Amino acid sequence: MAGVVTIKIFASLLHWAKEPQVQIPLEGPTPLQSIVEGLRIPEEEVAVVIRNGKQVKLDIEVEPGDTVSLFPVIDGG
Amino acid sequence: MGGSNRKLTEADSFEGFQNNRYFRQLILPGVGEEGQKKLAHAKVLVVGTGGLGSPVLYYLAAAGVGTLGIVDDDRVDVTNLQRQILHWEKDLGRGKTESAGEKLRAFNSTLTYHLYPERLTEGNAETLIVNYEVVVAAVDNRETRRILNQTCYRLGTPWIDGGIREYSGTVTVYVPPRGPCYECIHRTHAARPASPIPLLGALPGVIGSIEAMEAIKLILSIGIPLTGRVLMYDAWAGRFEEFIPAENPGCAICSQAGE
Repeated sequence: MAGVVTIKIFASLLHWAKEPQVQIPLEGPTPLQSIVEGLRIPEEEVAVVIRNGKQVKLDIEVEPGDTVSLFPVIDGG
Repeated sequence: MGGSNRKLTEADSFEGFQNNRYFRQLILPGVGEEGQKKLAHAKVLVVGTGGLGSPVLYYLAAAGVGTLGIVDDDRVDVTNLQRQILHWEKDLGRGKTESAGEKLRAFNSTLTYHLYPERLTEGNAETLIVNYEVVVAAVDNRETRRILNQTCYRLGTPWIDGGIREYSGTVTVYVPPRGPCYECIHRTHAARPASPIPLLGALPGVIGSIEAMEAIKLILSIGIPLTGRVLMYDAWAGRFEEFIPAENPGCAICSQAGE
């Protein structure tokens, strides 16, 4: 079923993605890694992935309607 | 309010001064006299006196946490001043624990401060932590967090972690033996080379204040602790989010902590 996935991008990942939140049309389940690649965010910079409020790994498939947040390492003090 | 807008004089009793000082929290449900006694008897170790450590220490001292341990081996540098509000221009080149201790003693002279001008390592972590009931991490690197995590889970000491970068911050509370622990959440992270993190000083102000609030909640056993959840602050978008971290049943640290 077609729809959109909402991707929220945090902190230094915005150096690549430019927009803090994007909506991407999907025809169906899609590998998250391909979406991240499409946003030009280097995979190794993504430290924490959240789908619909729960931590997941980057190698999942996302579906229309999902909200995904991408965080870099936030380890400053 | 409460007749507390004047300076302390010799005619004032110490008890009266303290009652005025903490008046706004003495009338707060969840704190009150019993809570204030708990705070006065509490011992909290704060690791780091930088951007996060400054608001953490100010607010724990303000609340009347009786004993504060302060760990930092660093010296005050001019680039620290835009965010590390415990350190002032006159402190440049001075040890940070000494600088912090001076400000805090002037701010709340009724508390006990233990200064540890050293770096927290695997070798000294247990000795530093064992006499404290809560640890607040205000550090700038993953290695120290890993040491804190391992040591606190071994000792059964709750610890609070905060992190900052650019326009984002994060806070989590770990209460052993309950997982997930720091290692569960961050096990996939590659180590980053140390480099200056870009940020505005208000960001650690927000995150450090949340860490202090969580420490006070733990001491008083009030509210809902930020355990099993990670709070994220997105300053750019002006929003908070939280997520439930993934458990790691095979975690070498928290899966064995309760056994």
